[in-house]
Amino acid sequence: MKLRKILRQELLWGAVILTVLLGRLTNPYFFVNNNIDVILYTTAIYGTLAIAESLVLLVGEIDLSIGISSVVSPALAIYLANWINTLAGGGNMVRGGYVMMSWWVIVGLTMLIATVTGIINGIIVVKGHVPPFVATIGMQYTVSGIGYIVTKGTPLFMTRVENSEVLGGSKFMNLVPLCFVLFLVIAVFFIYLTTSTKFGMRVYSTGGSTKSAKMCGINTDRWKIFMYVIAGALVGFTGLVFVSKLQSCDVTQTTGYEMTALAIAIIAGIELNGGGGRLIDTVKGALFMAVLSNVMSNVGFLSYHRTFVTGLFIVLFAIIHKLSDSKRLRELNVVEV
Amino acid sequence: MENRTNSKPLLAMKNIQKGFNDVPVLKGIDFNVNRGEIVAIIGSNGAGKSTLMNVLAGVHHADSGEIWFEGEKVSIDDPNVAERLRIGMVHQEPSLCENMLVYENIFLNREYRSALGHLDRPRMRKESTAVLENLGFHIDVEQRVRDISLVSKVIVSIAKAMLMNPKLLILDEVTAALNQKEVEHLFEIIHGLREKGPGIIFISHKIREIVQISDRVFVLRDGVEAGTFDRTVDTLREKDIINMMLGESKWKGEYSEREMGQVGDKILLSVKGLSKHEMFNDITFDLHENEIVGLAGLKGSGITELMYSIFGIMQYEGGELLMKGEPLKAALPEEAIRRGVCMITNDRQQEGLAMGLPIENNVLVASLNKTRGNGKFINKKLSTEIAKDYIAKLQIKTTGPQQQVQFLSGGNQQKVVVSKWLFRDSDVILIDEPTRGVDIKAKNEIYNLLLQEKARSKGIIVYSPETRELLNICNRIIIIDQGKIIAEVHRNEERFTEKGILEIMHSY
Repeated sequence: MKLRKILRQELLWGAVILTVLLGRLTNPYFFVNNNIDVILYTTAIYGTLAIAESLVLLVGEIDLSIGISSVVSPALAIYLANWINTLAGGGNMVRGGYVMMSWWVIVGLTMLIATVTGIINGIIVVKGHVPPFVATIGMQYTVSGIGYIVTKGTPLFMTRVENSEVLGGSKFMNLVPLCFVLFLVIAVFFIYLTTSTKFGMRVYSTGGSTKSAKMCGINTDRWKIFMYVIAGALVGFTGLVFVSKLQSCDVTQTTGYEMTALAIAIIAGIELNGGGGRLIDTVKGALFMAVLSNVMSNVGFLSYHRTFVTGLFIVLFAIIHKLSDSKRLRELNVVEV
Repeated sequence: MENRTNSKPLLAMKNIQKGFNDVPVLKGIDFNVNRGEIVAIIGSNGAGKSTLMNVLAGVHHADSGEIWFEGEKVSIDDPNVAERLRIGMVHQEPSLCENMLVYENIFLNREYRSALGHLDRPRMRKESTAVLENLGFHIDVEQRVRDISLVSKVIVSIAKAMLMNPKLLILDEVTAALNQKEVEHLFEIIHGLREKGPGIIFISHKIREIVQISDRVFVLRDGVEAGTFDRTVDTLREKDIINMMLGESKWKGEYSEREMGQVGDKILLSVKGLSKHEMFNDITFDLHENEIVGLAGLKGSGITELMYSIFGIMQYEGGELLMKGEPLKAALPEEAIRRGVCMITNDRQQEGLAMGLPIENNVLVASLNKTRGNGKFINKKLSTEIAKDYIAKLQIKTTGPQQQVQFLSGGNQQKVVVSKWLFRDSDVILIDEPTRGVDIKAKNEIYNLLLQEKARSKGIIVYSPETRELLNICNRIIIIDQGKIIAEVHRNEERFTEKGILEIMHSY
């Protein structure tokens, strides 16, 4: 019985291990350095976005703009920097698609734009009382549109930007991809915040029972907006990792990553109504998805197949979570009308 | 008995007056509480209990009058001031975060943390357990609130209020959803509290409990003090309290004998020994044509569950139910509806209406086959006519049959729900709280409607927490307590008054 409880609790690790085994089975080069690097890079990307989505979900909201925002923010940052520069009398810093500006300028402006997007999302949803589903889908389209308008659909190349490949491409201590290490730092930071500080208390109470939280004097509006802002910042970071690794910035790249982030959150057991779930599980879920994604592409699945498989797992895990919920409710003799 | 009254009362409210929209609710109340004293406040609905407490808690401002706390004049402008004065309030519905742990809830917004922000969980766990033990209650503080029993939740709410070491503790209807055993357990804890010194205000509808727990009973009637009973001086008797609450009114409702009409002979619904584990037991009565039967009882009596079981939302376990002579045990409401039974539940927004749809759709939804006219599809013209007809008949205030019901007032929304079932033309109508959240004018219009249906040979079963409402429209009232029928009072009896019914309800 104890074993079953442990199995249920460590479902996600089990899923990871199984998928790794599957990976080795289908790919003799699974454990080759390069492949592991790819998996870790993917985990970093998926993971950061999943943490962003999880935080927003925990306070009872949702954000569907994070995917497109991560791709468009760097582009906007580059064009903005260029525009300011030309206003100030300097030359064109984007020539023939090649970006020629300081990497740190790009970093700073990307983070700024992404965070501002988060602020706007938060204000529209919380102060404007627009349902978050609607508001963030609207933002998704708006941001996408702005991206096209500004870039005219043409990609930007980062190869002439010094140090631009460090974030996404380099290895920490020559062992592990830097972006993965940074992701771990981010993950540990937020896991600590949510489990061991007042931050966690505020987030979980705001999402679990907004009314009760308010009656205790918690400013639930402020905390909800705060999560959108954090999500924005994390999205900015992810965008920079993309741009650094791929050495290009292409707004036509439809990522669908917000759906992946949402899928990871669901798989991790983050409740869509708010107040439930743990970030540590989100990290496990991100690892699982990254390995799964790797296995699928090695086996030759096209994106349609992968969407199908992802969908299957979302449903599977949702059912598993619901079953364990129902079992608990039955044990308590609660009547579900 | 030790004299608990110090020379200076802990709380002294002097000549408090408060009105809303020119309607006076509190008309000059003097109310005191002493340290270590349990004072109960009782009064009918609308007597002013909640308003008085809200003034004390800083939710409302009194129009005039003074509040003195610990010998000093205070002005309680908002809940934070009340908290600073160490006035704690525990509400009827425990305002806990169900998804969080017990000790997290107790310390919510008052967490112990280090300089860097790290939560001191061990300390919070220890102190939560201590606060609860102090109350005489043992519970594992690491459980999630949604996993603990209802009475535990109430006690945790009290523990949370106790954390600030309140000087005055207000318990507002905290026993509303608890059964007798749970209430006794709670009272042991409250009595234990008294030794520690806070003054306690206990608000309840249940006179039996008030007699059990209070040192003093403060009776409110129509916004003024009707009287006070002091245990050290008088014997607390339920009968006396009821008398003081209601006066000697012999009011039997606004309708004449003729308007109330004769009850028919034919039996529509026959309830025989219906029971459901832990909800209701051995319920037997008949519903005739041309009859309105009222069900009276305190919340938690099992009445709503009884109605649900007749209608098919829940299933009864024992006994027999006959609809027009044929057995009925509906697995789903659909079956009950087909047999001619309908129910108007107490939650019109969630269960009675499709809020985003127009009046027309809501009225027709239970009787779509009547909207076909001569063709196979819904006849739009006919539908609109039907809707308009009900709007006129029920005097529903609206811009038209296309207006979405979410934009109607509570009373008018209720009328739409009623229209839906009138259009269905069921023989038996079950209604749970017919005029909840409905203004006076619409209330009367709904009563008229019910009497009209009665005149059309329908049978109606009504539950209302307002005894006056039942007295107004029912031919007889069946009183149910803790799931059992304890009495049946006919309209022509002496006891068919507010006082009579209340006395029966509280004599058990």
